[in-house]
Amino acid sequence: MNSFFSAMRSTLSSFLGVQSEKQREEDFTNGKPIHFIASGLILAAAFVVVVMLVVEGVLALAQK
Amino acid sequence: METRKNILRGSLFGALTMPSAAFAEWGLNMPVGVTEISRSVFSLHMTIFWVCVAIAVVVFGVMFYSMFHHRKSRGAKSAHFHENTTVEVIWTIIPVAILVAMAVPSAATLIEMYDPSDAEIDVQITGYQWKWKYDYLDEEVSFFSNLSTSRDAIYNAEQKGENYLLEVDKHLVLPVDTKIRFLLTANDVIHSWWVPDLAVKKDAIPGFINESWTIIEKPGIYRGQCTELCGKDHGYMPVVVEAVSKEDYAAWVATIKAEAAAKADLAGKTWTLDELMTEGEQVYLKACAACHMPNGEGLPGAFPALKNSPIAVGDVAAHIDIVVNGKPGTAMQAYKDQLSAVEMAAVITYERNAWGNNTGEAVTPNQIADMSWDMDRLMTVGEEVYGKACAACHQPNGQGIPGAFPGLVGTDIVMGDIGAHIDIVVNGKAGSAMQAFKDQLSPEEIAAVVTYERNAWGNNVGDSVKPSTVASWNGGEK
Amino acid sequence: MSTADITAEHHDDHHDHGPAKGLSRWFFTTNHKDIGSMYLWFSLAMFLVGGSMALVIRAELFQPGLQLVEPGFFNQMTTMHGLIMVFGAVMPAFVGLANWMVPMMIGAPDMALPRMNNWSFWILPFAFGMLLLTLFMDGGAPNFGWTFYAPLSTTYAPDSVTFFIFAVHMMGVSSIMGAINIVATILNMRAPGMTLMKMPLFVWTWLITAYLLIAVMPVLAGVVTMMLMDIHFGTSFFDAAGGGDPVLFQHVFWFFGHPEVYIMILPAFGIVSAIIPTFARKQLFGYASMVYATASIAFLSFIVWAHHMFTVGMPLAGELFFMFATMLIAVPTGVKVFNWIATMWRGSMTFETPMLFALAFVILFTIGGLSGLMLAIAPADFQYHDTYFVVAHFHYVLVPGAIFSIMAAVYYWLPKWTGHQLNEGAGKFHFWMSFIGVNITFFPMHFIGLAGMPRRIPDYALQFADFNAIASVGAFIFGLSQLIFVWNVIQNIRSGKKAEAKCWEGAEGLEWSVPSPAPYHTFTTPPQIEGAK
Repeated sequence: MNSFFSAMRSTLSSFLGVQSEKQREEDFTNGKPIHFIASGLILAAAFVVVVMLVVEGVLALAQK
Repeated sequence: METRKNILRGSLFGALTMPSAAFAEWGLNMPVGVTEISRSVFSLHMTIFWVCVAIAVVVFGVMFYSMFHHRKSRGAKSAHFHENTTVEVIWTIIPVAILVAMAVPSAATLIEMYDPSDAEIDVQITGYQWKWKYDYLDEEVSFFSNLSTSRDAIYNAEQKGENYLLEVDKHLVLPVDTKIRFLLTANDVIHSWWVPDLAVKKDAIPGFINESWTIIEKPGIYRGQCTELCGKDHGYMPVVVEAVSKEDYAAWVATIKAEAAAKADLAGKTWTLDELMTEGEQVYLKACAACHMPNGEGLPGAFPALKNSPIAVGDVAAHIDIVVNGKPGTAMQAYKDQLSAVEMAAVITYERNAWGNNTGEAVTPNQIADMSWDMDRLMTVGEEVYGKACAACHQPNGQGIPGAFPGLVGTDIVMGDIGAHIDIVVNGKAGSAMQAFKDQLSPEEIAAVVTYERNAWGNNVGDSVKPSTVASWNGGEK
Repeated sequence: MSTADITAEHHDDHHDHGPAKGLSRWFFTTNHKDIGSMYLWFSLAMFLVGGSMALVIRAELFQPGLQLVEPGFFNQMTTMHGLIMVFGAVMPAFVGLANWMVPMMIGAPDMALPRMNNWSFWILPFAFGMLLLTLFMDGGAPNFGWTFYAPLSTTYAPDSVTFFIFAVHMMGVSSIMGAINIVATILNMRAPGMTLMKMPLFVWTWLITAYLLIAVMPVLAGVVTMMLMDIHFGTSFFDAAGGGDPVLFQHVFWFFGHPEVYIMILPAFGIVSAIIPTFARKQLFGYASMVYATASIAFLSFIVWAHHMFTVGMPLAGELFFMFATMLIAVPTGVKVFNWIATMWRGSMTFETPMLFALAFVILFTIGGLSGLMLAIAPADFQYHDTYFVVAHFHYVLVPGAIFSIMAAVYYWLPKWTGHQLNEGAGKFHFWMSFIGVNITFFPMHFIGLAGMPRRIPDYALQFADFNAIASVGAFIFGLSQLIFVWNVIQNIRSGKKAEAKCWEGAEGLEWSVPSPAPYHTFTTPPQIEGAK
């Protein structure tokens, strides 16, 4: 389970485009590919949802 | 002061994008435009541009510094660092912050652009290969706007004018200080209607309607072009908007309506072959030559030749049909929406006699007018007219009121000689309640209602009447 | 006895056999180096063909008015230029480089699926042969732009569209097989000790690109199949009259098209990340960040496609979504430039031809990236969309981006391929002519686009005349300077000083541990990996 959260953290920082050498070592020694694929899909979906919420928010503001 | 600032900027960054008038003439930058929207778009454009310039200056500055100082020939020894997560996070966060800051005004402008409510004038814009049609929905004014640059200018046989390729025969005239809503669609392929000065660009998509709007603040002529590849003459369908004062606009609407009425009258005139040929050549060059070529030879494989073609020298009805109704699934459009009956008659006559086709046949505007009245349309319109003008006496089911008004189902008049039927509707029956409808209904309506009576309620005679027949009946001959 | 048996038997007899003799070497080869070379030659041929078409376009646009070609033919030229450059020049060049370099970089003897490799290549000449032959059909070649928007490409298309569709299918089959091969090679064929985290960045970017290809080429195949159905089998996917929607085409196309943009640039990132450290004599800065960013960029490139379609009349929420998403995703891509600069920083740089091309890539790609940032602002995009500003933007990304990276790669690895040292003089001459030519061609296009010139028009209003003339001159400089490149490469193959195994002082990686030229078979015994990267 720990490795999954670590994968989540790695994926999150990859969305920003930044990763440290240490974390990379960690990912490639202890990480499981399935965790990265899962966290990639989850976080991409989350990204879409967040942007959609922002859009909703902006539209709600514009209505006023 | 403003000028000095500009000179300063100019010397710093070159003549890239100055918003000042001096540079605008060079055609280097986006026009500021004449609407509130176009000004906000321009300011967004300039803001993001300067942001980009700033980023570029920093990035390239560091890069060139490094390229100059850290070269082996200057004795540079390479360092060994290859990671610094903190620095990386910082230089990622800064652009993100800048972009988020940019997103706010961008979203605001976008939201404003998407609010066409409270428009005072609706103009429907329809893209055709390769021209625009403008329908003023509130005024019942409608016309096509074609490129007016001559072929000779395009082929370098004559001097190119100031507005080369950006000039049309009829401008889209709009009043200033008025909210105008554009409804965009297309007849064939996707086009895109763009006027830079209004910052309006929207795709015109066949089968769908897009919305956009503008409030023009300054009278003037604003030019743009189609911006979505739409086939061979995509480069030759400019947009010209003429913004005028509200008074001038009202006057223009009156004029254009009068012109349209005058044109309608021409249809009744008797045309000689020569007249048709002269008019036809003009129409041909405007409407047909782009595909079928001025010499009628077409473009093999893409657009068929008319010279000696089965259509142009064969059955005249088929020829009229293809011009009036087009050929679905091909680039051949239905010209009934674009050309008047006179123009279609002229151009068909021209095609049947030019380039050695020499059939000697003249097609009259009346023949064209008839074409658009097929059985379906006659029956539909006929039913309406019947309900309005005849049903009160003859009853909606055609049974009449026994003893007072004769029935029309299966009677001699409607089942027998068509001439007698037309005559009684046109001229009435003296001494009876049957009026002369020539003064009340148009020839088209009479043709429709006679056809309707002969084919409704199981009469099914199967024949029909064309408006031109009725029109000549009015003269009282026959 | 089947061919396979003969080969197997033959193989057992002589373990270190060289190439077959004559033409059969090229037809039947399963050697990654031979196939890589064929890809590269094919790509060069297509680059010259597509480039000639660009020169026809620029010659016509040299002056206002119609001088050389008719509008119908002009449209065929713009369409074919785009298709050939994207599918015939850039993509096969990258596949060719992958074929040559990926096995050598990971210490593998060959690609994982060598026979399929042969087939992936040999489909291409037929696909492009068919596409090019449509130029001679009645009605001419495809004329609806490389983005082939329906219904211009369906109901209103010339007959040749059917051949175009089959050509696209064939290219798709080739690309998918190539991509599968690369994925299989990278995942299965690495030398012991060559862990994923030790792979050079070029291998990483190609691995990710290959996944992108596998994901989106079927989408492209799908969209052209829908066109085929509309044209010949009476469906109405893209015809409003039958209940379809022309905008659906654009959504499907760009769902392929946007990741395609990354397919054409990620391997370039890999190449530049190999070259800059070599000539800066310093390790790549932020290798881990590069790998992670590339992976997530590829992933997220699937959710921004509609920023190509801001003017089609999407709902406001859609416009805002794609604007925000695009702006956010642009950043991680952009800041990779900072990593290259940080790699150069306090290095010990020399400026050989590959380095010059790589540096020009960094500068000019950044310019293309910045204009891309401007295009992401939806309200401003209404003014930029489908003008020469867009043409300038994507040519900056693709010509001094993708093409320059390919040039850099060729100059960088050519000594390894041919065994001869580069002719630096000719290389630098080629570089400076290309660099100057590219900028003269494409920089003025920003101005004419902003001033209002739509793209894909054969003739233009007079105020655009000066910059068009300049751009045309630049195009001919750039085009003709490629002949120096061709000459230089051929010269290098035929003669030149003997190159050492590691011909660049700062170069690192397994490919430099084998002799130059690389023997026909390398790493038949897996190499010993130390901390290679």
